[in-house]
Formats: sequence, structure tokens, C-alpha cells
Amino acid sequence: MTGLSREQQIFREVIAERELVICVGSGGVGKTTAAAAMGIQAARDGRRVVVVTIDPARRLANSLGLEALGNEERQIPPEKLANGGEAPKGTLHAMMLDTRTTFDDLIRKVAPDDATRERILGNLIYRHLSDTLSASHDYMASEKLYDLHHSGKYDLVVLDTPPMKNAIDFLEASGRLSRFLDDKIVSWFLRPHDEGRKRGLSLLTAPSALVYRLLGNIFGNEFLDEIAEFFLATKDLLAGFKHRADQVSALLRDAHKTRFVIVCTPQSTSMEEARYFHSQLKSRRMPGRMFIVNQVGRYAGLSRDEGSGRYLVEADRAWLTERLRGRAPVRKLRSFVDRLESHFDRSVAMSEDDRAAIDGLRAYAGRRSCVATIPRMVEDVYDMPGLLAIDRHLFGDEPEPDSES
Amino acid sequence: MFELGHKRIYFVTGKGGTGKTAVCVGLARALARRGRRVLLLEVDAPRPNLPSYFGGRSTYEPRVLAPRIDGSNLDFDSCLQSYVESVVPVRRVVKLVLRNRVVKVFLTATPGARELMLLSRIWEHSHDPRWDHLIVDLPASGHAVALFRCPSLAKRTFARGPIRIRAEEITERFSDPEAASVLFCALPGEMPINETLETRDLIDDLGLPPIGGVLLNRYPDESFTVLDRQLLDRIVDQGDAPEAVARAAEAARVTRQDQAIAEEGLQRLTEDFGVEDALTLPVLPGSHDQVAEAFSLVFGGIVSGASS
Repeated sequence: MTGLSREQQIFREVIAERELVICVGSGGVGKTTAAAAMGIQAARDGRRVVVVTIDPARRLANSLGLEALGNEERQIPPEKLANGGEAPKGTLHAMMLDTRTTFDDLIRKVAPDDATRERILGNLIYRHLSDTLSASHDYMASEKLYDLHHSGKYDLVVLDTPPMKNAIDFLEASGRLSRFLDDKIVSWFLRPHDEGRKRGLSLLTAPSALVYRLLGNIFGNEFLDEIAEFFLATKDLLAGFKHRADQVSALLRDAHKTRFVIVCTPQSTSMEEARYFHSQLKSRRMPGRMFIVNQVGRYAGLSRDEGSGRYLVEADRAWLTERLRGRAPVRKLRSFVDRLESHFDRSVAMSEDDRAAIDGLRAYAGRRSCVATIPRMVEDVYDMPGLLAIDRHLFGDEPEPDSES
Repeated sequence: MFELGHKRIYFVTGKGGTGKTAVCVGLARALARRGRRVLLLEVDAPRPNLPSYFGGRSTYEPRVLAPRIDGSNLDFDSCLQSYVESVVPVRRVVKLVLRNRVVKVFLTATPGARELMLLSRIWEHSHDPRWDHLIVDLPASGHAVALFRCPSLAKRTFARGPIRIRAEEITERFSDPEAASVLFCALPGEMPINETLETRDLIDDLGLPPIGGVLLNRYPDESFTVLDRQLLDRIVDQGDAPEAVARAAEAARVTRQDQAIAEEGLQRLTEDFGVEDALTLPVLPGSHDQVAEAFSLVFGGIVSGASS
């Protein structure tokens, strides 16, 4: 194969030069697979890579040669990456994000002393927060990111984001935490707890006291105390939290280090979400503009026979009749050929819909954007050969032809 | 027989891209055609989907989308306002509370508060005589579980007070098998089926809402028989098929493989949900609105077959 397409060049450049690649998109579009495939290629190209997934499917871990993935990074055996060829220069690690463990680790890291740490880990509010707050999943993903990026162990971190109802949650997680832990707000809660309890609510300004009393009416005073206790315990962690959150926020916007890759399929709902996500990245000045369109139909642009207007011409039908003779009763054979043809008609029509959708996405995203496509695979992609086949489409430059031909 | 049309409240959940909204719209249309009045609800959707089916824009206050179909997007801020208004009778005070930044932060920190505000609004609508049915387009599976976990969480967190009472009311209403049911949208394929079964188990453990059925979407209706498969293999084995024939055979083999995956998925779903409670929906061409319209015809046959 000589020469790479513009898209392949851009994807090669990204995995060779950036430090952080974040795959975003709705669930079920092949985000995890795309993240794994990019990680594999980067490692084969000599970089030290870690892929962070939220996908608990064991199959992906197995396809990478691991029993299972945990919250700690594990190395993929180099011989798996080599795929029979030369051992790669780089390394590949993978891990699965576990929100609760990451949150607990974070508390251990930023807590100034053992007493504070135990107080927080045992607080009812903290336990609920780390388990159920939908934002905590997104926040922990960005927290882990910061950790891995700053560890110095990796040249490239590939992150597969959680499939959220709106992936923008992830982008805002660090900012939201900063707001959440805003000193002023925390001290508002602390006042009634520290002083108000002793001296009565009269010390508070009138509107604050009113709001506090209302919250007490709605939620119950015991609960307010629990909240105040939580904030009191976390007060000392604020600086550490905020610093990290600000760092993550800056990293996500750094075009020299970070690239977002929007993963989608040609189906209309997925395409709409891709555009929406693109606009969200743009409005946040985050480096987007890269798309992977997965599961693209393979039969667009075939020409019909001029006379009959069919894709299967007389000679094709003759070949079928000739070669399949005796394999089935004549009537069944005729029915088979008819169904084969009508099915192919529909496959071509669907592939052409896919192509139109991709053209639409390219027009929307503009000339400076990069829209890569991966055809619908005949075989399952949950194994190393499948992932390498994806890499051939994304990055080109492999001697092997398509795996299925 | 798959049950549709007996319950007052249908919650619809499933992973993104499983056709949840098209199913909701299709069900609403099918019920409206039978003369039922329906309220379609989106839950805290940052980018509401309903306008792309009915035109217009999405509002918090229910708005007419089509004859006998109203729609609303339950955004958190408005739900919070409705809730505070129901607890605090003085308008001026309501404003004061809602303008307070601390209250927002407080509600973020309070376990399940956000979800409870949303459920509370659905609960209120479920008593509104203007509608015979509520169809709730839930967020993707993980968030849906968080939503239904919050009443029990609130009951554990709050010993008394209005929130506790509302949490009890919500639990009673939404766990009533006569009133409510949750439908799952799934896609063929090992992973989507795994997720569907996991979510089903989680919701089953919570006890609300009662498990309705599962809709396996994009189920390939193309049937290539065992004999066909042998013929397809034969074509490929020959190695010298004309290009168009080779491609047509390859396309058919992909479909045949999809079919095998889908059959296995359906098998697993029926083992858990029961044969009666699993329904397949075909792969359909066209826009999402056309797909919803086709779904409404499928559901129409089921709704009309109902005794009510």
C-alpha cells in the first residue's frame, strides 16, 4: 500500500505526538474498540501507552490478552501486540475505571492526616456521593486522567469516556467540582454548624438564615448536620481538589497535548449526537474536529447494469445457476438467487445512505476536520486480529490486505 | 401476549441508540389512535429529542404535540421550582430559595435529591386527570437505575419531613404493578444484551418500577435458511465468483451472521423476561420519524388486541 489518505496521516500524527486522546460518543458505537485500536497502534509505533476504559466487558480484556481489567493498570503481553511479527518498541497497558476505588484513593491522597481521612471515608454523605452522584463517575474519569498523565509512566493516555446521556457531563466534571467546593459556599454551610449552633442563627444575615431554616424544614435538621459535618471534614481537602480540577480543565483545552475523537455510526441518531458533541467541544474551546464513523456499509457506489438496471447481470446469474446446480432443488435455487439479489439491492441502498450521511458530516464539520471511516466488519472485532484490522483502516500502511478478503 | 396499553405509566429505558425515543413516540401514537390521551415525558434531556418528531420546541409545561399527545421535557431547574412551590406557599420566598446559589450546591451534594425532584414531577403528572397514559423516555440505563434508587436512598437519609413523605408516595405509586411498568429497549449483540439483563436485575432488586417487557430492536427479518447458508459457503469456496456475486454473497453472510447473533440474543432475553414479554422490532429504513411511525403500527396491533 503506497501513500496514506489525509485522514490516516492525521490519525498517525495524533497518536504519535499528543499525550491524551479522548474518545467520546454515545454507547454502542464502538468507542471502546476504537480506543483499544488506537492504543495498540501507538504502542506498535513505539510509545508507552495506557488505555483507560469504563467497559466492564471481559471480552475486550481477553482480546488484549488479560484475564480481566481492574482499577490498576496491567500490561498487555508484548507478543500479543506483535501479532506474529516483530515485538513492538512501545508498551501497552490497560485498566478499567472503578469510580468508588478511585474516589477513595483520591481522598487518601489529599487528606492531610489519618483522622480526616477516616472521617471522610466513614461519612454517610461521602458514601452516597461517591456511589450515586452521576457526576462522580465523570469526575473520577478526569481525576484518573490527571493521575496517569502526570505519572510520567506514559507517553500517551487513551481514554474511553463513560457512555452518558450527554457526554458533556465529562467535560464539565472538573469545573463543576470546583464550583461545588467553592470556599464561600462551604463556609456558608459551616457557619450554622460551627457558630450558629452555639450562638443561634441570629448571626447569619437574614436571607441566609431564612434559606437555612427552609432547607431544614424540607430536608430535616439531622440531615443538615450531616451535610455540615461532611463539609467540615472536607474543608482541608479543598485546595488539593481545586488544584487538580483546574489542572484537568487546562489539560483538556491544551491543543498541543490533547485530542478529542468523536466516535459514531452512520445512523441518523448517532450522527446527530456526533454533531451535537462537536458543537459542545467547540463552544468549550476543546480540540475536537476528529471523527471516527464506525460500521459503515461497504457497498456504496456500485454501478448497475445499464440495460437491466440490476447489480447482478445476466452473466452473474448464469454463473450462480451453473455453479450451484445440483446443490438444491431448482425451485429453491431460483428463490435463493432472487433473495440474494434483493438483499444485495437493499445492502447497496443502505451503504449509499451511509455514504450520504458521512458526506453530510464532512460538510458540516468543515475542511479542517478529519472524518475517518471504518467499514462494517464481517467478523467480530473483539479479538486482536479484529483490532488490527481496524488499525489498518485508521492508520493504513500495513502490508496485509483486508482480513475478510 | 406482549402487554401494552393497560398501565397508566410506561417507563422506557435502554442504552443510547437502542431506539428508546422512537419506541416512546410509536407507543404514544398507537395509544392516541385508540382514543387515549397521552403525555410524553423526556427526563432532563440536555438536547430534547421530541421536537425532531413533532416539530416545535420542547417545554417544561406540557404542550400539544399532536392530537391527544402532549409532551414535556422535565428539566431539573423547573422540577426543583415545582417542588419548592409545593412545599413553600409564599411566592417571594420561593424566589429567594431558588436564587440562592447555596441551595443548588446543596441539592447537588444531597444524595438522590436531583433524581427525586424529577421523579416527584412525574409522580405529580401521574395523578393528572388530563392524561390516560404517561410515557417516560428515561435516560440511558445507568442513570435510570440511579433515578429509581433515589426514593429508597431518600427514605434512608431522611427520617421525616416532606422529602421523606414524597419518597414514600413515589415508591408506592411507581411500584404498583397495576399502575406502572418499565419497558427495556435492547439491540442484538452480546454486549447490549448483557447490559439489558444487568439493568433488568438492578431494577428488579429495587422493586420499582415493575418489569414490563423487552423490545429487541433492529432484529434482522431477512431469513437465510440453513440451505441458503450452505449455498453461500459454496459460492465463497469456489473462489472465482464474479465480483458482484462475491459481494452479494458477502453481504448475505454478514446478514446471516447478524441473524445468528440476534437469535442468540433473543434467546437470552426470553430466558430472563419470559417468552410473552419479549418483542422484536425490525430493521427499518428511513428517518427516525418514519421508524417511530412504523413502530406505532406494530404497537397498534398489540394495543387493539388488549381487552381494555
